[in-house]
Amino acid sequence: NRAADFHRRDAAAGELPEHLPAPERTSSRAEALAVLGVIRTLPEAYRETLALRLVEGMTGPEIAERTGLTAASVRVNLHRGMKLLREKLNR
Amino acid sequence: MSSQHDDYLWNRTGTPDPEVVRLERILGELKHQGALPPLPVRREAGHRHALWGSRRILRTVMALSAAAVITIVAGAAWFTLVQPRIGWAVETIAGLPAIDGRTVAGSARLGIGGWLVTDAAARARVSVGQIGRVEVEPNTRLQLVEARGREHRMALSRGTIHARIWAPPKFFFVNTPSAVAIDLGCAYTLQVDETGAGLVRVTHGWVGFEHEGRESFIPEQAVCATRPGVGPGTPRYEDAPEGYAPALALLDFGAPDDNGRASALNLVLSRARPRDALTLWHLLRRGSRAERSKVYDRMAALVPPPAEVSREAVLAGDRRAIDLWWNALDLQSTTWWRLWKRQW
Repeated sequence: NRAADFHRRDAAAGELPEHLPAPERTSSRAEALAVLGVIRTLPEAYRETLALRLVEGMTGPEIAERTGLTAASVRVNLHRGMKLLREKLNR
Repeated sequence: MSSQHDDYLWNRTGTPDPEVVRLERILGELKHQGALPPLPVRREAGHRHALWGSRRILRTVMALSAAAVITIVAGAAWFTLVQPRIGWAVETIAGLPAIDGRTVAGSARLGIGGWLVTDAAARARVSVGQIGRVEVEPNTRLQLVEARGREHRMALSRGTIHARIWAPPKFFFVNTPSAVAIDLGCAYTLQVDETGAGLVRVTHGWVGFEHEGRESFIPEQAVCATRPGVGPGTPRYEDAPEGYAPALALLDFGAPDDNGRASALNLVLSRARPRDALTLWHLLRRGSRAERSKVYDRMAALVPPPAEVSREAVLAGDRRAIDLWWNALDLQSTTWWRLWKRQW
């Protein structure tokens, strides 16, 4: 009887719907988010530059123009950031 | 990496670097739809990873005196002209979302203090500065509270959002009527109903839920409810054993003298798998001492505590001891945990 009472109480407990509408979850998206998760662990300067390059598809000069960094800084950040990213992805 | 590959990384000329091409393909799926919002122009001098030459330092020092004067003048202009434009870019996905009562057919900007509202047919996408995106489902009402530096905060009074954040942990916050959701990872869905109750479902990374010192940590593939006046409940994995959701709802939000608590706790403990130590760990700090004692015994059987963690310390609510046990749960990344504990 106590178990029955408990299960009747389930409905009263009234949690929000379990089936929240979720964005598409494809394996490719999961992979993209996983890589993005690694990028976000990089130092700030590399993280932003690499995200603009690899996610948004911008070129180095476009990133420089958009961020206000010099082209040289962007190039260094891309090079070093990519090196770090490779190391982390290959661990 | 060869210079040819370096050229490809720089401007897509030269020989394509296979790794860069692969990452472009994978990450291109997350590309921003439509025009990117404007980024603030940064000061090169503050860029830690740029190469510093002695001439640059000299130029910077010489510029400082001039900058001091300019700052005074520019500061006034900033607060009167520029600051009101700070905010988040909003794009319409479907229907006609409204910002402060005005419908948005294409794109618009949500200012500090502004409200974005979607009706039953409207959906929108919000660019959270440079740190992420939020998709707003129908029947949602949210407000931009803060958008600067390390604090990007919105208030979700009702409805559903899908957040995807790529900033470090603790940069993005969502106030709800019953708890604050703190981004510790990448992607999650947050829903608030008309009563102010909430539910978060994490699809990637981690989310923290906090209300007046009551904390819950929710990893991917887990959900956690929250209630007004109580705060966050106990997280559980989506594949948790049958009966977990109502049992935890009763333990978290039911009356302390509810005579169903014992059977609810027994259900949670008896059906717990090693993976459900996540749930049990949260219960170590909740409920009566007798309840926590039962939780301790079951959790110790599933994941033995480290040698330096005593039963008495845990039951006394010793935070250090309980945190040490967390470290034994093997919950993959602990980076967010360390960041959470850091005082900002």
